[in-house]
Amino acid sequence: MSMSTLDFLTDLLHSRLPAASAAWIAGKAEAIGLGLPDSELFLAFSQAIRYSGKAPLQPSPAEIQAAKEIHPGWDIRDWTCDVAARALFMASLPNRPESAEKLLLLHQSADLGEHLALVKALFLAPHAEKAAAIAREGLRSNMKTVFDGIALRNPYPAQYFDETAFNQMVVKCLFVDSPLGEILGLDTRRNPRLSQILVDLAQERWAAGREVSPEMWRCIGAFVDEPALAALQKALTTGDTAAKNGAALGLMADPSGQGEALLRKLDPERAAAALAGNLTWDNLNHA
Amino acid sequence: MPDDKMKTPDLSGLRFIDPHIHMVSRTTDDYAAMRAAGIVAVIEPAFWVGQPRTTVGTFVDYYASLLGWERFRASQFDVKHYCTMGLNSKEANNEALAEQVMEVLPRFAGKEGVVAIGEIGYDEITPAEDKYYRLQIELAKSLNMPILVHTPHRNKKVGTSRSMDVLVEHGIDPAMAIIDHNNEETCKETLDRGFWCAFTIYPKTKMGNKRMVNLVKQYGSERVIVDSSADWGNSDPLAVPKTARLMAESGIAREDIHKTCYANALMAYGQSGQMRESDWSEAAPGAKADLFEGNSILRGGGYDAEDDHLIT
Repeated sequence: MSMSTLDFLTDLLHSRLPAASAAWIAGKAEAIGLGLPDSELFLAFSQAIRYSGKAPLQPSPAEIQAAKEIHPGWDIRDWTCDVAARALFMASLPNRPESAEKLLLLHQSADLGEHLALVKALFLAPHAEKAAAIAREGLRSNMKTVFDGIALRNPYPAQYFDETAFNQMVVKCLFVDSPLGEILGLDTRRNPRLSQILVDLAQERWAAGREVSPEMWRCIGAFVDEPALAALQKALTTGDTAAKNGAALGLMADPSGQGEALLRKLDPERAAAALAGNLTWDNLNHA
Repeated sequence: MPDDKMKTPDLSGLRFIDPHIHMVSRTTDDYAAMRAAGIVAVIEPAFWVGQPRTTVGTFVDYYASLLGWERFRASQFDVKHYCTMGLNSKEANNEALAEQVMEVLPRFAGKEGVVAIGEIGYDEITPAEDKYYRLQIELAKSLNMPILVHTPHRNKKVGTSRSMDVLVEHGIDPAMAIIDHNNEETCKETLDRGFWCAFTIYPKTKMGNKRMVNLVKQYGSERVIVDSSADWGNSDPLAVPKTARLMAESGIAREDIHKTCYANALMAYGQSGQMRESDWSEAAPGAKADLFEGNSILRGGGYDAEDDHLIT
């Protein structure tokens, strides 16, 4: 891992913690980089919180920007000091494949806070692709904080998940009410299979008289087939404002132009708003 | 029976800790009822989980579940969850397995929210039990952690005395040890020797709550702790608040109820440095998760280095 990641995390902690606590964390990070025996690594990872506390980082705009520049998609806005300290330890692991095995061992005996750090900072660890089991297990977790930790505002899934895992993550977000808009790389990783799963889900929910999230149309518009078009039309004509807006944006995304034509015919006002850029995925309640 | 009009006790504002309860065996309905009854925090000792465990992997998964899943589950009901780590006496008798468990135990003992080594002690009082009891006492000593002692159900009086003898032999300060499952026959010695004296309100077998009221009347509230030990058996997760109510109806002072059903447990296990009243009292009302679902703000406020118990 580049020096700047380690320096950045060390500085973040140094500016927030008492000097002795920051020094303990920095010292352990250095020792981990040199190769610490397993038992000492486990202990350091567990005990980090005794030195870091768990206060939110509350990063400055400059710090938020710096993180993004070090690693695209790195979003420290909701990070806490314990996550940062454990991230520093993870990023400090020696750059060799065996380091992924250490991560898997840490994961096996992780407490709730450690679970969260492991999923949030996994992308910073060397050979992170070899520790994908941690991220996949995070998706299966019933601990919503852990699920959100890997699924939302995290560059790992878009970078490392195969299509099955990525799709599973998107669909589970809809089941546990986590916002799709916070999945990084959603617009580049969406795919025809996901679109089909979501159309089926929409129909299942309509049949059960349940709500259909307007966000799911974001993954459907680009791969419109007949059932998808029918579903978008149904959402556009029967849903509430957010559903109508989501369906409109979905139709606009159809590369064949068929969707846009349908929207212009059924709801010219909404088509105009979408074309003018007044209607966006961040603005689904736009009237 | 007390006259309801005269004696209906005012328990408003009283909060409770159940410092011994096995939530892994309880339902979400229990969590909801416990919170509604005023329980703000629980301690879940690692114990004999009530089903066969024949490989070390099942212990690793059990310990991990106490630290992860159960902690999260409790947070959904605004209950703060802590645990203790240990190899229980029953399973200490499988020596080959016990050796392996002892190897992994240090990996879990130092985790966040682990407030003691326990529950450890004697069941049949075998040499194997004695060996692992002593090894775990030394582990607690090296980590400067409190010890939760399970006293045997059979041969209770002898077993309880011996449990304390061994602690003293290993140089444990009685203020760092909680002796649990006491009864009328054992509590005087436990208190006289300076240990924390816990009582398990467990219907039919261990201690009924009317007997508990009489004990507090006789011995007072100093170093006395009430818990439920509710588990997979015929037990009551509301035993602590119910006993508190009965104490109030029986004229026991509010301060004594506060001590036996809340403050003493906090003081005893707080010695771990892992349990503070601010863990729950500073949480916003309705705050659900230890790590908030919205991920926007965390409870606990700023970090106070002096307040922390550092192990180097």
